[in-house]
Amino acid sequence: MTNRFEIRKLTEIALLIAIAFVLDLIASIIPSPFLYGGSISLAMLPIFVIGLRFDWKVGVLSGLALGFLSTLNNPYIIHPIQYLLDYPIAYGVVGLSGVFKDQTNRLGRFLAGIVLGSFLRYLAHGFSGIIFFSEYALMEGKDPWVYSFILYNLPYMAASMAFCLIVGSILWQRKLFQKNLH
Amino acid sequence: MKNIVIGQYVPGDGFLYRLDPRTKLIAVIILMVAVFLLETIIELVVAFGLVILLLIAGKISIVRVAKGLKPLFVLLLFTFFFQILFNKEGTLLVEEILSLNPANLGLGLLLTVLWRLLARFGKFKTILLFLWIAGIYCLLRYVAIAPQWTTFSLQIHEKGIEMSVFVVIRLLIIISLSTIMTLTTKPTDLTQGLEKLMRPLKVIGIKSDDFALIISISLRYIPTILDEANKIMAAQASRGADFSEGGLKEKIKQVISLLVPMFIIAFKRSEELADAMESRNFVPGKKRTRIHELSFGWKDAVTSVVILLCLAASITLKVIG
Repeated sequence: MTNRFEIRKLTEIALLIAIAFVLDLIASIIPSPFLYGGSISLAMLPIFVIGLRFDWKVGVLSGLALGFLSTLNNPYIIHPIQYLLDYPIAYGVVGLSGVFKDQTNRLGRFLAGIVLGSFLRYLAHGFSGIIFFSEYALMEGKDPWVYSFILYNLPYMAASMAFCLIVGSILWQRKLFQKNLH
Repeated sequence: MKNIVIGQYVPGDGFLYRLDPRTKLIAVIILMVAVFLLETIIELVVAFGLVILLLIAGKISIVRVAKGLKPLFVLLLFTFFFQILFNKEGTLLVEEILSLNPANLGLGLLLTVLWRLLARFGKFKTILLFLWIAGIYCLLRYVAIAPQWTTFSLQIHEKGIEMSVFVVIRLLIIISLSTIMTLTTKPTDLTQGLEKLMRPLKVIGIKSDDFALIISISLRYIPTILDEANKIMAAQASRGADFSEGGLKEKIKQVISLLVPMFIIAFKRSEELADAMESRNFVPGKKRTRIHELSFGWKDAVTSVVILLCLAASITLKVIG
């Protein structure tokens, strides 16, 4: 029985990550509405679902896997630390949304997880932006912080989070994520 | 869209193809660190020359690597201009007075509208962008009719040019290195290499074999799921829905009607896949056999030594310089 559960867990995570990847692909086709770039993507949603259905450890592992997959598809590597922050860490911390998981299975906890995961991912992208600006644009002082944390990363991350919150709660109410493993 | 290729792998037969993915992963990391230790343009030019040599020796077409640079083109351009315009160190080389007035503001807006309209056709986008930048510059520089709202001076300093060349070459090297790796290594091989490299992480509870299995299954199902998503969207379109139009409420509705079947199919498929794996006696965590085993050969040993020499060289340069 546990063996069966473990296999289900693996296959389910793999397919949810595949969905996340596809959602990211679809999002990149639609042009970004923001002046400074970055697209609104639902790619985080499947990771939140993994965090909800299993736990944060599994969530982080899935995030790392998604980070690796998106490296293959869209390698945006300009600095070693920037790479770590933008791919493995940015996606990995999304999986930390699973810390809110408990037996009660309440919507509020799911949404709290989405907020936490998105916020941590925003921080990761923000710091990677600082590295970019200080290494390549030679900006010092508080300018790079304003550019990275407010102008570039805030609009699309906030929009992505809002999108995940809305879509996530609608799908939650349809009981889509609560299906038990057997 | 149907035949999506994940990753940039292109089949070939250079020596880079025959290296162990583990060697390549570690080599790219070490070389990147080495490049960031370099401090002068001459050192970077030499490093760039070595990268070109590597491409020739590995029989990788330079055109293909250049294509890999395309998504980062805007970034390169941005960095280049940013350095030139805002770096105020060194001797002043060029100084131009630019002015903003109603006439050139109007013409500038007109030019921008024209540029966006032409860009819609999707051809010569880069040339159009350059023409636009040049046009705006000419307007600001030469159309100086009263009333002047404000004037500002455009200065180009020696250090600005130097630094812009420096960062652009460095960026080119970094991007080329990662492109070389993804061009010559299959995603599945990379995954297996990563699995082996992540073994030690077992100490902190990350099971690298589970991780690799998850990635392999995902890689297998991404094209299938993408195909299904396209079908669902086509079905919606046949009923009059348009994914690129409509207000926020409409969009959310459409996304929901896309996601519900996607998740349901995924849960169902994961169950079937688990059945198939269980019936073939798959036990998570147990040792698995593979069709292709990775092997660390003499080529890998030689490459490792060369890479370490590169690192040693750039550390030495850093210490001396």
